[in-house]
Amino acid sequence: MEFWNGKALMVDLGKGEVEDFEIEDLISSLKGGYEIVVELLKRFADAEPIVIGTGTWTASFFPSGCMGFVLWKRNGKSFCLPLNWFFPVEFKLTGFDFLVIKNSSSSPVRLWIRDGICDILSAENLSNKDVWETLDFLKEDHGDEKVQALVTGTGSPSALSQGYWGGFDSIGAGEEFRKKNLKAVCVRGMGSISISEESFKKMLKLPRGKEIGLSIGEELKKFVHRRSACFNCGLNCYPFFMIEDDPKILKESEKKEPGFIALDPNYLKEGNPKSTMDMLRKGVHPSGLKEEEIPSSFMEFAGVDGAVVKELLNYGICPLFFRVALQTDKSYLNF
Amino acid sequence: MKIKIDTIKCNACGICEYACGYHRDREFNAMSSSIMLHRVEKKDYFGVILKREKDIYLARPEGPETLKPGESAGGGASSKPIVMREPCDLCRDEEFRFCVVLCPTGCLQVEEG
Repeated sequence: MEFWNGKALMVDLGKGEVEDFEIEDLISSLKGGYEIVVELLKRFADAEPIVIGTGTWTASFFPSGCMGFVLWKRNGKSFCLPLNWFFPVEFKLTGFDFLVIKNSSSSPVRLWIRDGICDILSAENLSNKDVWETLDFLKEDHGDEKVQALVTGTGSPSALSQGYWGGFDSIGAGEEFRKKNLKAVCVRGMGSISISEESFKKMLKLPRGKEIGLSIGEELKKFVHRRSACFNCGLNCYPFFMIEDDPKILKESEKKEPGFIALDPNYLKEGNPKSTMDMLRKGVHPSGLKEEEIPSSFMEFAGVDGAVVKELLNYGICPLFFRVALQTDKSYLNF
Repeated sequence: MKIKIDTIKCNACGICEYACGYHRDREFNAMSSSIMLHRVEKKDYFGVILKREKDIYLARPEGPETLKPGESAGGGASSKPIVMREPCDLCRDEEFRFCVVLCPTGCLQVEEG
């Protein structure tokens, strides 16, 4: 099945059970990842699920095909946390397109997903660890720097962090993880996604984007080291702020924690790098907890409204890239 | 002709690995790629490693290094080390060098000669 694995993973934390199921019918009948997850939420509503999803071109040659999302309901309302950076691609390459997490565990656990399998492991040892300590442990434990994870820390309200660098969770995904006693979802993708020669050739011709200058406060500019991008993107949205070492350093820093990236520019608003690092470590979002379906900070970052975000999550491409590099031209989506 | 790597332009987006994988397997997969992104995310240290016919080229930001067979540069663990991979064949029989065309920053270029 082109662009998809055709399988969803289901984890019942209450029973400690894991199974997978075919979703080819949903893929062929619905528009893409977002619509499929809405359907999965309905299907398993009794088990208070959190669903993690990818889009059609997450993990493909479509530029900015890095996106995924977390969807859940609270008090009858839907919430959607967009994910960028590297987790969604790494997840899709584990062999699953979606992850349905049902019920709650009686003790702290973490999920370890790779090669078409998933283990529910104890996270008792991680309960009091912050986001960075947890990530360090997971990378060490699984023996691979390329491991990606969604993690909660020690802060309150708890924000769900995309690896070390936070994210846009001002809407309570981290709190939902906490309710389920779920400390982290950790993934390493070494699988394959089918892409035809015809699609590959079309994707080769798409604009790849150029560096955009997101505004950075004067007090932070002097700390800028190198700029990074999310998977398969040329916008280079993310400067690394080298706080504990020379920002001009090119060799590997000998400091253990020399600085940070903030995936949500809101973390930078105070202009106080120590305070930002502290928030990232603890796993709290600078906006606290808001009752918003989609974080307003993500929509501000991307410069689009919620309807566009949902539409593009079907495809798994970045709304900011769509606006800036594709000039909101929907003909690019008619593949 | 060879692949020239301007590491400072790299933004660690990682698409080069999958571009090479597509040349090898005609799938979206990085396990058979001749090119690898080396990244220590927490320290913002990243560069590109290219397996060539007779050596391994480490395009480090502080300056390149070439390793001959049997030499080691240390570094973290990998699910499939570069020494176990096929060397770059410059996308033999392809219309383009896939990693060069897909690299969004111009970090990877073709150098004639």
